Amino acid sequence: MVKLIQLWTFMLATLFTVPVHAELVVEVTQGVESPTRIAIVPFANESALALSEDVAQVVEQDLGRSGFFEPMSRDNMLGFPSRQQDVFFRDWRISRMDYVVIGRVQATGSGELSVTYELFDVLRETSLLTENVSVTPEGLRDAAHFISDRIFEELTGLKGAFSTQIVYVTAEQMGADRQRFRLMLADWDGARAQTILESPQPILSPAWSMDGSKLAYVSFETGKPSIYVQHLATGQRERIQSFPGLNGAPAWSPDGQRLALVLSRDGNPEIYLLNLQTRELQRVTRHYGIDTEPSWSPDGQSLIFTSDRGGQPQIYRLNLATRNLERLTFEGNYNARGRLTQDGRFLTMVHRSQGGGNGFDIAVQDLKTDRVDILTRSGLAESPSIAPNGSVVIYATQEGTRGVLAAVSLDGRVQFRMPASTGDVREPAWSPYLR
Amino acid sequence: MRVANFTKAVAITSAMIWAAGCSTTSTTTDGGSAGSANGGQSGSGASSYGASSGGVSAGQVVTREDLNQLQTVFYFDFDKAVVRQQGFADLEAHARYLAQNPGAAVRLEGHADERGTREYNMALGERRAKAVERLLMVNGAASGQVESVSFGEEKPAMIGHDAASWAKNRRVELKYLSK
Amino acid sequence: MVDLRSYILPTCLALLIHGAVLLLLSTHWIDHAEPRRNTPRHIQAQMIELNALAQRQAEQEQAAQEKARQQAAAKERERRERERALAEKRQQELQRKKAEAEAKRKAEQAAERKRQEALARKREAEQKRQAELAARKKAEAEARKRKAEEQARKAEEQARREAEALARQEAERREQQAAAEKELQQALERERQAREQAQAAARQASQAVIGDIRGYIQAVLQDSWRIPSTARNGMEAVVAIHFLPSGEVDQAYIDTSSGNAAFDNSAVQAVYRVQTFPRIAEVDPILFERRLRKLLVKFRPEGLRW
Repeated sequence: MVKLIQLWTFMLATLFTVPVHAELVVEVTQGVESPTRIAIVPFANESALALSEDVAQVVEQDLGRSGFFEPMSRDNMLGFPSRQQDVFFRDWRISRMDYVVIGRVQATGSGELSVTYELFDVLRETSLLTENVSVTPEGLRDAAHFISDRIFEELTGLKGAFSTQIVYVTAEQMGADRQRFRLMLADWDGARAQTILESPQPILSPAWSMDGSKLAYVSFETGKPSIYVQHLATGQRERIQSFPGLNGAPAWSPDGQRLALVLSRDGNPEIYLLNLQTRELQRVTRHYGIDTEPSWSPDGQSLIFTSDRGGQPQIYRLNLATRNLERLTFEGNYNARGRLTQDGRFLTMVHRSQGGGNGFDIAVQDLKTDRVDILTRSGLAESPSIAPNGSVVIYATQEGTRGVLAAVSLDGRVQFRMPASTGDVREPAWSPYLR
Repeated sequence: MRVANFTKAVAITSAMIWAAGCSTTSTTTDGGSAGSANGGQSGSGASSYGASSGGVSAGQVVTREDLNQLQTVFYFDFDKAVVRQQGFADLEAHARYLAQNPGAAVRLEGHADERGTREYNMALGERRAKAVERLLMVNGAASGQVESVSFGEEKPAMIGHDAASWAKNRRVELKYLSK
Repeated sequence: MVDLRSYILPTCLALLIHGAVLLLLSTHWIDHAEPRRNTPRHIQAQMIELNALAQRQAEQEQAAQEKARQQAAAKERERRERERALAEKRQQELQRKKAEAEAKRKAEQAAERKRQEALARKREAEQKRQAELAARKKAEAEARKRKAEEQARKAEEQARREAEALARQEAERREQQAAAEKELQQALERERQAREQAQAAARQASQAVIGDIRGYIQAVLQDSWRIPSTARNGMEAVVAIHFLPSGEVDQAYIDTSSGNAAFDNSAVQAVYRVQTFPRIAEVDPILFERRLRKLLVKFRPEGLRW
């Protein structure tokens, strides 16, 4: 008994004399600011059909253009596995990949195609995602964008915007004094473009309704500017109330109930709100200067707009309820066409720096810190439009003497040109999330 | 940094307030000074503003033939909607013609160069057309005779991406709908 | 009372569990309480500090041990020498006594033979001097008896003296042994102190090693960490890493999330991308167990654009 007590005492003593160290904490504050490496292996075609799209290539482009990923070139791949048992993680690790995507396309009995893909974490040697997508042979591109969305969301936590669309305007010189304007609709990457309106007179300022079903735009088809609303599904269009002078820059409120627009019916370009149900018009700015390019804050509580009331164009924010007006931009002598990201934190705009000569570039301002970063160096950039997930800004710029569309990731890391289109391309507008 | 920003904001805001306080008058001077100058001119008959073309003197009857010699395109500085002085005499002549011919009507088409955003340029073209319109009205044209429309940067006169082309594109074109 | 009794079983169980835990802990502790350094560490160029420290430490401890061992061995040798000398002395004594006894026995035999001869001669002359003979015989016997008694007494005396000497020697030997033991104890005490000093030095040295390794891990992870676009200044994720003694990452997982999936993921990936931290394998195993088997890495970007 005494011995037992001695034993206990000894044990307790041992317990309290064991050196207790706080867990070692190492702090890492620097890293490599570079995109995630991913390999999209060409999908095996097991369908016995000639496929219209290279699904893996579309996925590769999607992810690469988002700025978040750096896809591996196919030429460098050591193998093209299409099934899990053929994926050798060591090989991919040697190739310095963090993730690898494999897939295959098979025919189903009903004439549809079944696309199976699988996403692997190379470093942890695990499967993260596997899924089966059924599409018609014409829908392969949709399947590819869908897969991109899923992978993007899995790895970044952000919703992918690869299944979204853009609209833009093209202008062609048809003769000495004749032009042809087209309003175009395409995939976010510019593929599968289709004309939704054609006119000999200018078309501009296309704007998506928040549900993605309608467009508002300005057309000069009557010789004067008027705002039209067009339903994308039916092509049905309607000219909304037209006033003498300017009728421009329509912008849908987030709830889809109102349209902010610019009218000069009171003698000067001012911003108005049009209630689409009651057709009631409400003037919101009152200044002898130019007030234009309204855009809604994501919460619908305020408008941001361009005004030269300070002597040069700058961006302001007006709270609709309190009428509180606040100037947002102070850097540069020209800041216009502001657009906010969906989280309301970042403002993209057309910017010309102080002493920047004739250069107009796309800039992004962090409204939390007011830091401004210039994303392009093209000189004549305009019409920035942000992807619904805030990752990429699409804009119009000049290439040689031709207008083209380009995009840049919001962090400025990745820039790319949209596929060439006939004529001068301008006025891109990114859709909200569709479906 | 934050303090600096704040100071900057305060400075600029106060500057803006000051500017707003006195620029109401300054705008009036934009179009208005031109108007009053013209008013004085029509009263005195002075032609101190040296017409660029034609030779139609103030106070005279402007004929249909005279119109062919008048300037119909008026140019502007970048991001400005102020009519240059060398255009005043011809605009005054157009105004007199309109006053003398109530059946005549003009359309003023405002334009901008490609620099800057499209909707802002649309507004800028509108302002330029309006500036010319005010000059015409001040000199006797009736409101029903003048209509303004802005094409912004959508219809350039010269398709070029240099200073010379831009200068030609920052304009208001005066077009007679009926004479 | 009843209530108290109902606590007995739980209390016993609790004690049992505690006991089990403590037992596990204590074996762990005991296992590693006595450092074993059999072979000197392999020295590599990039590990100069680390290895030199470990080397020095090992050498110090070895030297201390060696000294103590030599001292103890010397004592032992002395003690054995003394014991052997004593044993030899005892042996000599025994042989001497045996020789003496033999000599005595031989002398007695000779005396007897003489006596028999004398008896035969005297039996012939018995008739002549019967009474004389009887008296002389009696005197002779008495003398013989006296002599024998005298001899026995002397032998006894001798034995007693010898025994006394032996006892004296034994006491001396005991005394010497006690002294040797005391000396051994002192040597052990000295050794213990030396070891404690060495341990204190080792603690300092391990502190330095930990600092060194910490910098190393930080440098490796900064090279490996790919900061995602969604990262913002002020985000913070803590990753727990479990190492194998080989320096290999056994597992890494988010200990405290930043709230941003891509950011958390990038931090864990940074660890898995490295896979093996070779310099951890060179750390002293005890130090590894105590400080490096599990560690936390805080990923907190600075100087990002946003």
